[in-house]
Amino acid sequence: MMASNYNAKEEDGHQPAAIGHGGAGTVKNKKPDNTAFKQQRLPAWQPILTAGTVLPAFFVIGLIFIPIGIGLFVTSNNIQELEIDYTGVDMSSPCYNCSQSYSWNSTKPCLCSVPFFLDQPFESNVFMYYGLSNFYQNHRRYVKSRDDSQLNGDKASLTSPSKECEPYRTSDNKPIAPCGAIANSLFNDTLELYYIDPNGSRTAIPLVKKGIAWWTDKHVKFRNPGGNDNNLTVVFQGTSKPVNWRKSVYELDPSDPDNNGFINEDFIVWMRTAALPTFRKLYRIIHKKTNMTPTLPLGQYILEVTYNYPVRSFEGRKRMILSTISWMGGKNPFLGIAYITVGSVCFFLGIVLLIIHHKYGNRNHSADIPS
Amino acid sequence: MCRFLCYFFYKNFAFTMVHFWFGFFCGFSAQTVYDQYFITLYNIVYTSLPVLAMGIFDQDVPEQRSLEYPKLYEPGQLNLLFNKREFFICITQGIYTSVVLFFLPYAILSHGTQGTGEPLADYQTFAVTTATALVIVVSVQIALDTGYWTAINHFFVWGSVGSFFTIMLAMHSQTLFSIFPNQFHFVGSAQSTLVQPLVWLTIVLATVICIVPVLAFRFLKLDLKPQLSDTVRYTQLVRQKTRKPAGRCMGGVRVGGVPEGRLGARGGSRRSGYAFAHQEGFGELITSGKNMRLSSLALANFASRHSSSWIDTLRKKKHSNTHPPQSASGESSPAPSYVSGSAPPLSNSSSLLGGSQDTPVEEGTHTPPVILPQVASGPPTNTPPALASAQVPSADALTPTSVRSPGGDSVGGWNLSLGAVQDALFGWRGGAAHTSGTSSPGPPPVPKDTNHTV
Repeated sequence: MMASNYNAKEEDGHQPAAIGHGGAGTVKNKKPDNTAFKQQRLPAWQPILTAGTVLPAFFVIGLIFIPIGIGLFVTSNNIQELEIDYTGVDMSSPCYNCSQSYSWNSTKPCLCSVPFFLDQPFESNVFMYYGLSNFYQNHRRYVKSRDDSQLNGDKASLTSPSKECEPYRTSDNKPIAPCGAIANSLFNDTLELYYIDPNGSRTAIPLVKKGIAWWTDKHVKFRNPGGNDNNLTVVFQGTSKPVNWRKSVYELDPSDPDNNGFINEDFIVWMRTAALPTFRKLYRIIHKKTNMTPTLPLGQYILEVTYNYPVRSFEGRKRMILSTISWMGGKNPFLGIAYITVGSVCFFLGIVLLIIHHKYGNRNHSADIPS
Repeated sequence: MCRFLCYFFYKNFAFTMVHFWFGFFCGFSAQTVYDQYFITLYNIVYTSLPVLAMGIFDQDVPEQRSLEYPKLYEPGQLNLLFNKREFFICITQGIYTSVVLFFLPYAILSHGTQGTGEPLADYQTFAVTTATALVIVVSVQIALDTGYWTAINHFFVWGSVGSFFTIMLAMHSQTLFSIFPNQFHFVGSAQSTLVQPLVWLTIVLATVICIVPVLAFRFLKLDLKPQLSDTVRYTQLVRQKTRKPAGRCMGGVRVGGVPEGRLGARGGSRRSGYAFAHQEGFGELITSGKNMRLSSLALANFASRHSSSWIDTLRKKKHSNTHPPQSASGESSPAPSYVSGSAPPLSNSSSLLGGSQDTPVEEGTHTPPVILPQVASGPPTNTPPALASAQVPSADALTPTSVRSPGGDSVGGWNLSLGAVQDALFGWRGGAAHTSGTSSPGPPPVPKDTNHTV
């Protein structure tokens, strides 16, 4: 290529000289400069798809993906997960009465108990989630309906929330704190877990409610107005609670000032909107006890539900999920299967291409010309 | 230009159709999958520069080759490179990519959790995952599309990916959030998402699923039905490979990795080195099992003659208006033979393949005298000053050629492979190219010339 570049240069050199000598002296040379950039002579790498590069690539991808997929699948299979739907749709379900008799103004909470059996002990940390179905936290109007500067503790936004929060912006002529539809629909069921001994006694399983939100959410994004040390009742004076809440925001966890107000972790977890209509959110963590005993031994358990959250009206479902966690998260068989599938398809494709290449690609290597 | 257009449609379809699929899962409320700022910057910053660089700098064949093979321009005239069918293919690829880019994170993240137990199915993690996968997939696609990597291309492609990560991390940082809390909702999102192994596994899987079919199709197309431009490109690169041992007297060079700048340094020694490389490189090419249909060296030798000295001599013919035989004796004899060789393979191919497959052997007897002297003086004549000196060995070269030809094949065999070369060069555009010289402008007078001079 450079050889021809030499010539190109020479030609260009010759041409203007010829014109310059032969033609009128006032002819301006409008040719673009003879630089490598403008004459498109930059040194370059020209890759080409040859069989020597493509076929090994396919095989390598196949050989890498299949073990990864197997590893992921095995890891996922070792994770234990239990899911209990407690919406109370069937008449036989323990929470049927609560789901039917929901009313917004009831002061007495409806309780229901769901028994379940754990046929495998759960080792290490166990995570308790609540799951909702058919709940569109990803609806555009819903996602917009929040005021992040109010949640960040801005005093001005506290008294005058953003317009995006409409129609959950003010109530009783007072600004709502926290405003918006997301905050208004906070999940307020209470779930408790009890282990039933073989001899019939109930032991409550300790549920930890801190450490369930993202660190940046808890420490950066959500701040109480006026800092952490102030009396939140005073700070939030002049605002009203969201329309569908039973308690005010400063009553979410009065016993722990680090979990009260806007920085309440359940609230923060709820405000992190889900991407899909069927989602789960972290509710509580059950820490492992010792290395000897499983965190949740085999046996009978009872889930005590304070049924506050109505989902029947939009055909939603509520679930409680118990799950162990590995380095790759919870139970996710799809990933392992996907990797194994893609790896095998790649490998197979490599073989097919190799066969096609040998049969049809090298035809003209031999001396006879195909007709 | 057509690749540029196709890529533009592809990347925008891949980007936008994700929202279409997401609509089924968000109540058709037009909620965007990505961050607002990503949507703004996608077309401006993250994907515009690489494709611009490709559109400006792309050269599928070097400029000299494109002068020698006018048939390279035929697809453009016939509107083969961007018509409704090609457009439809680009769109389909974009839609397929968008399906993969949405449904793969959907399937994986809907049950995914972090190592600390928090679920990965929140909107911001989903947005970051999909956006990252999208940028990486379209960048790999432009890397596949770019056939001519100058330094600027490298800078633009890797720079765009780098700028994506930089800008995203900056926008998801706490600093910007503290200044504008209502504008930058995604605080902490990228930092938290991109450390999850599950997210990277998703991105890698999405890239492979999107790119492997493209790679397979392109490889098959290149292998089974190479276009003339592909063939010329390959021979160009193979020629670089054979020239390398000329200077170094060594074999075993990689194809395609040679920057073209290196050849210039060997200009002086090319003449003597050429004969050496010819014997060495030829055998090495065959035995190394280069998986291309052409006897690339044959074409390479053929093509190597067509330097711009041909243009020079043509110009001299026009300017001087003297008879070609009258000018420097050495100079003229190669000139028409250059001409004959240079309308390049066109004339020879028509003469070779014009008849049936039997004729190449007989016509081989005609053509070798034409070809061989050109072979001898081929490389040196790339520089006009060397032209005169090249003429001297041309006479002598007639003898070495007999030495040369057994080097690889018999003369007949060589011409047969040349015929294969011509065959490949024309692709399989019906029998039109084969049957007569009508496909090329001036073959009829040219063979007569060669007969005259020889």
